[in-house]
This record gives sequence, C-alpha cells and structure tokens, in this order.
Amino acid sequence: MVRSRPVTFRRVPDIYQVSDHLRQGDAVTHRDRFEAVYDAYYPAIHQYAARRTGSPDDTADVISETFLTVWRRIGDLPEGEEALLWLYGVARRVLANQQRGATRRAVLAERLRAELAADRPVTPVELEHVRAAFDELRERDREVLALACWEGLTSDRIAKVVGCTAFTARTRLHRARKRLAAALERQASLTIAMGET
Amino acid sequence: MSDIDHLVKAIDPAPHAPEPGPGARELREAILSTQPQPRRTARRRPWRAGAIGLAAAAAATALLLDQVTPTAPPSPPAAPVSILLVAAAKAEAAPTGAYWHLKESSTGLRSRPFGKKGDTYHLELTGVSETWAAEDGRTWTGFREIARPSDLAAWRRDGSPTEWPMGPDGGVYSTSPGQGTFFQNGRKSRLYWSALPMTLKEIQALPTDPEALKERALEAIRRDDGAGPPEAGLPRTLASLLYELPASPQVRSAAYRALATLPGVRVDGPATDPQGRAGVAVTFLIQGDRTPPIRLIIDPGTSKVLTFEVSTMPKQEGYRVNVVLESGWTNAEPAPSAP
Repeated sequence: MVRSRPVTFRRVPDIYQVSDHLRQGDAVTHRDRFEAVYDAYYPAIHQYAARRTGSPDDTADVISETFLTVWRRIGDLPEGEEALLWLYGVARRVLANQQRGATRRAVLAERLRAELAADRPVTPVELEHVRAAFDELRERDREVLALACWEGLTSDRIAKVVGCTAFTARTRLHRARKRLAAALERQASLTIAMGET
Repeated sequence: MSDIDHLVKAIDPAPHAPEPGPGARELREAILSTQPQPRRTARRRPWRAGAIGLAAAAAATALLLDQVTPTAPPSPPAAPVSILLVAAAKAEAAPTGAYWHLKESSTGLRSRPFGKKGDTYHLELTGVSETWAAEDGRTWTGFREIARPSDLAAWRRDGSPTEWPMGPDGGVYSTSPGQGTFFQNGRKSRLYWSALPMTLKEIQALPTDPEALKERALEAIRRDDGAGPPEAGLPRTLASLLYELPASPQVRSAAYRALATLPGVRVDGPATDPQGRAGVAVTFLIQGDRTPPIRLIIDPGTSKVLTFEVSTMPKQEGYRVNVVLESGWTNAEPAPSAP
C-alpha cells in the first residue's frame, strides 16, 4: 500500500523508500541516488538549460524544476547512462511548460539565480550568421541539431530524449542539417547583398 | 561530424560545463528537503491487491464484468444490483485485526542485460515485499529480492555468476535471497492514495458513490504535477483501493463501479495468474499520456485482485507483474518472513 510512496522522512531509513528502491534494482536509498545523480548530471542539465533559455533566471528555474521533478520521480529514474537521457527528457518538458508560463519555484533557486546572472554565454560576432540561420529553423529542427551538436547525442539517444523512434530521429536530424545548410546559403547571400556590413 | 555539425557546435551558447557553485549545492539541499512525491507512472507504482474477499466488492466485480463484457446480457436492472450491494454491505463484518497486512511479489526484467558482448541475458528480478500498517500510523516493511538469469545457456557461458553488480551506484543482485530487510518505520507515516497522503481513517471515509469517488481520485492525482491528463491516472488510482489500501468494502465496491465506467476498459476473459490461480483478466487501456496499459486478474468469486501487470508485452522492458500473496487485516505481529 505504501511502499511506492516515499513517506515523511528521509534521514532515517524509510521502509517504503528502501523497498521501492530495491524493486528498482538498487541498494541505496532514494536520497543517495538523488545526490549521486544530481552531482553527476548537474553540469549537463545546467548546460542544457543555459543553451535553451534566454535569461539566467529562466536557466535557474529550469534546473531547479528539472531536479525537483527528478526527486519526485526518483523511483522512475533508469539506471546508468539512460539516466542522463531521462533527465534531458524531463528538462525538455520543463522547458516546454515554462514557455507556456508555468509557475516558478522562486524560493528553491534563489541563490542559483544570482549565481548564474554573473556569466551569460555570447555568440562570437563572426558566427552571427550561423546563429541567424540556426534561429531561422523550425523548433523541431533546432532541437535535434542542438541535441546532436551541443549535447553530443547520437540519433538513437536523441530518440530517447524526445520520445520518438530512432529512425524518426535520424530522419529529422538529416533533414535539419539540410535545412540549416540551405539557411546558411541564404544568410551568406544576404550578407553579400548587404555589402558585408 | 559534418561541417554543419561543426558550425552548430561553434554557436553552442554554453560550450563549457559549469562548475557547480554554492547555489547548485543549495538547490540540491532545498530539493531534498521537499517531500519526494510519487507519480502515477507505471514502472513506479506497485500495485497490490489489498482486497479481502468481500461480498460487496464481489458483487461489484460481477457488475463490472457484466457491464463491460460485450457478450454479456444488458446490465442487470438496478434493483437486484442494489439488493446485492445492500446484502453485501450487511454481510460484511467490520475489519478485524490490529494490522493491515499486504504481501506480494513483483517480478520484472532488469532493463540492461548482462553477459558478454553479443551473448547477453537479462536478469529477472523478483522481490517479495510485505507491508504492515497499524491504526496508530506505525508501519513496517519486509523485503527480499532474488535474481534469475533469463537465458540459462547464456548465463553458463558467462561463467554462471551468482551475483551481478547493480550499477554505478553500487549493490549486487544475487541468486540467493539473503537476509532481506525488515524494520519498523521510524515514525508515523501516511498512506498514499496516488499523490495524496491519507490516514487510515480518511481512507475509510472515502466516498462510496462511484462518481464522487472518481472526483476524489482526480483530486488525489492532481496533487502530483506530473505530465499528462489526470484522467490517465484513474485506472490505477481507483484500482489501488481494490487491494492497495485498506478501503472499506463499500468504497471498494464504489471503486469497482467507477472502474466499470472508464473508457478503455476491456475484459480479456479467463486467465490464470503466475500462482496458478484462476480469475478474469481486465485491461485498462489508457489514452493519451504514455502510460502503458494495466491488466488486473480478478477472482470474480471473491473480488480479490490476484495480480496486476504493467506494460505492453511480457518479457519486455517495463513489463512487471505483481502477484498478491496475502492481504487483509491480521492480528499477527509484523515479523520478517522465512526466505
């Protein structure tokens, strides 16, 4: 009746947590597992969020919301490297929800927000045209390209993150590359037409 | 990597992995201080048949099966049904015993295989768990797990190991059950109905009207801000009252009737559970969401839920079958069971 629901405390071994956990094939507590996963994948999720949000506040919110979801669903977390893909999937949904104006967990990420405000990535000027061509693409195209080139995922793994078949992911990636190439050509001719300003 | 890929890589807005600062550490602690809530996902939610064979629920089971069996005669007139239910409610004695007790086994495949490259086998993991809850909120659990290779030949070629590492987090799977765990929960805890923590009293006071019960179930599901429509969680949330929680016979009866109204309910016909017990299989297909369908095997004679299965195909990842070994109220003190 209760085993699946990690109950009211964590420091003391919780029978339900422990047994639910074992059921997932794991000898450590949920807390241990969460800490391990957080420490291992925080940088990756941070990067993932930073790449896709427009402000440090949003980045911090996506990170906190993602890991909060992970904590809530700690029993669902797959083992090994699948865990990172699963985390990306969670972050991806958090982003989608955030763009729909979901609530912010203001308190949780307070300090993180301040920390992130300090350093924001910028695109080097000489690559502005690439960025412009990239931004021209549809969200679907940008998503697979980014997962492939920024997160460095293979199409099989992209499929797991976005929840499609490997074949679909491969096809999408292929088409996205072609469309980016076309967009780059347009950008180039545009730049030339504008007199290399 | 193609040229295009290199260009995209060059515009990576965050090319360097951040060094987690104090903010990251603080966030980790802040999250850990929140309550980890369950979610109504399939893999996660253990399903236990808690239902004691009770006449009320039995009647409702019959009703459920009647209503959803295509070949069944039209629903019986209201009067006999209510007579059955009234009779059932009368026949049902108040639960006796100091502890709600549940014992079940849960078997599933570990997703990643073991063995040599190109010659792998999976581990089938069976956990037997027991849970006790006392009226005053004390709870206990026992758990024991055993691993079995799915392909004996491949296992022998792997050197017939009897232990396997669980993963990067440590721990081993073993072919022997070992000592297992048994202990009392450190403090009073609630029982969870979907994402809603409840006391035994609150569980027993749930609505006995199917529609009202459905509403309450949706409220419980909405406590969890998971993705997907709350309706997708209805089958498992309602079914949890049939065996997972010490619901009253009237509530169980209402849960059966509410389940009968759900879209996507399908009676598969006679089925035998892994313990060899005969019952009727009922599948709940879940629209939308990515929740896999769940299948219950119910003993229509007693209304007991014998097993529930999660996922699409047996022997595939995500497939899990839970078998109810014992459930009900008991006066026997919680104690570790023999291996």
